[in-house]
Amino acid sequence: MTRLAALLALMVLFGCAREWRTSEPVQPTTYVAQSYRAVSSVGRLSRLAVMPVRLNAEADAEQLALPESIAQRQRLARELQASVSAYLANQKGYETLNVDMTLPSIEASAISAAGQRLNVDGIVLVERWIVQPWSTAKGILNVFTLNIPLYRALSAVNLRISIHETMSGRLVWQSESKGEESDLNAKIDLPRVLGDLDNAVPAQLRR
Amino acid sequence: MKIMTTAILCLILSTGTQAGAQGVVGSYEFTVRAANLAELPKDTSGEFLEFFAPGMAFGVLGLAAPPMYASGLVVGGLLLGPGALIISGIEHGIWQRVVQALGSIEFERDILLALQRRAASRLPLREGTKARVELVINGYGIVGERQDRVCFIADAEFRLLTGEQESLRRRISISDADSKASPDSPPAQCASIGRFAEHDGQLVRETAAEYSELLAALVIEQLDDARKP
Repeated sequence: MTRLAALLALMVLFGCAREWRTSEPVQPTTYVAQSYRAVSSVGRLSRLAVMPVRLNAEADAEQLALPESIAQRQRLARELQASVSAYLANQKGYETLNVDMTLPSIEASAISAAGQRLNVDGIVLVERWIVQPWSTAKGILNVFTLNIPLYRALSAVNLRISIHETMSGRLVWQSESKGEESDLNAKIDLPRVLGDLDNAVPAQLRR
Repeated sequence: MKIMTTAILCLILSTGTQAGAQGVVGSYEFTVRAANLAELPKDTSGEFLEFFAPGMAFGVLGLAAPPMYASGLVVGGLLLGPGALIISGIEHGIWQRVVQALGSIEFERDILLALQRRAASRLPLREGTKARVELVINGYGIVGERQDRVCFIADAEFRLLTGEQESLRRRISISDADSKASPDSPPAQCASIGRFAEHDGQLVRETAAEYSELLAALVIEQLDDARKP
């Protein structure tokens, strides 16, 4: 219990990536082969489609509507999608497919239908949150409210990557990066978010 | 003259047939041995203990400090001192689980079994000489300096011997370093040491089992290619 409390305190203080994995069986759809993995290993989903990044930027409505702001957000979304895809392929051995289409919803049936149409074992969803930098007023408010806004900022999610399996459409893996981010061009630490993901089952063992 | 030409031609043909039969590999005998023991991750749990003494010193100093600084020193000291002990204990437990899992692996035996099984289906017996395939595991195990990223690597070399003649030699390496990895091998399984330690080192055992099959598959693939005319 003491150890758990110490770990929780450290997580809140420093902010970090949090990973969740299913304990249910994970089933690929594009191949059938003997597996040397646990049935719940996400690496069994060797072929993944990376969907367009959902970028949530906090700003005035007027500023968000500016063409250059829209173009900048679109560029960042494309770059992040390409980075996630490249990391999954080069560091984790997945076959990835960058997709332009947007999902009608993230319900299991919609994910499953999209996965089957794209002939992939799973769908990767990426969400990014950018907030406005703290104003002086917010800083003063933080002092008077015993650092509660600061702790909330440290535990706020700035990046979430989720993997859904095509077979059932359900979520099988998710990782989040914590800590408010206000810089649109901030470098994203993908190894921290994707580092603990199982490697894909190698192509040689899928035949 | 005609008879002599026919005799020479027959001799050439028979010599050619003999050379062909000798060159054809009919079956394979596999041997696997490890040149080195498994690579173990570095135990960094002791590094956290360096914070214990300063933590306790802060605590003691806090008892004698003026009231304005006392609470900060005592609280800071209490966080640092026992915190270092707790984190060091957790880290050592993680390291031990990974080391125990690595110790439970029979990498050589698993590769040999995988080679024999895969050869039986992919390289069926045929008429010809019996060749020896020697596979030497130069290294395997978990490497890495940072606890948040260690990698399971494997490096092996095999050679095909027909009689005393070596007809094929290849190196296969599954590594996190691009310069060391073989072009046809997948990326090494890298993760935090904590991830490898989960469920009593399940990822360590799974990765070892998969690497055994992968190394065998890569060897058999190259033997199959070498066997094709």
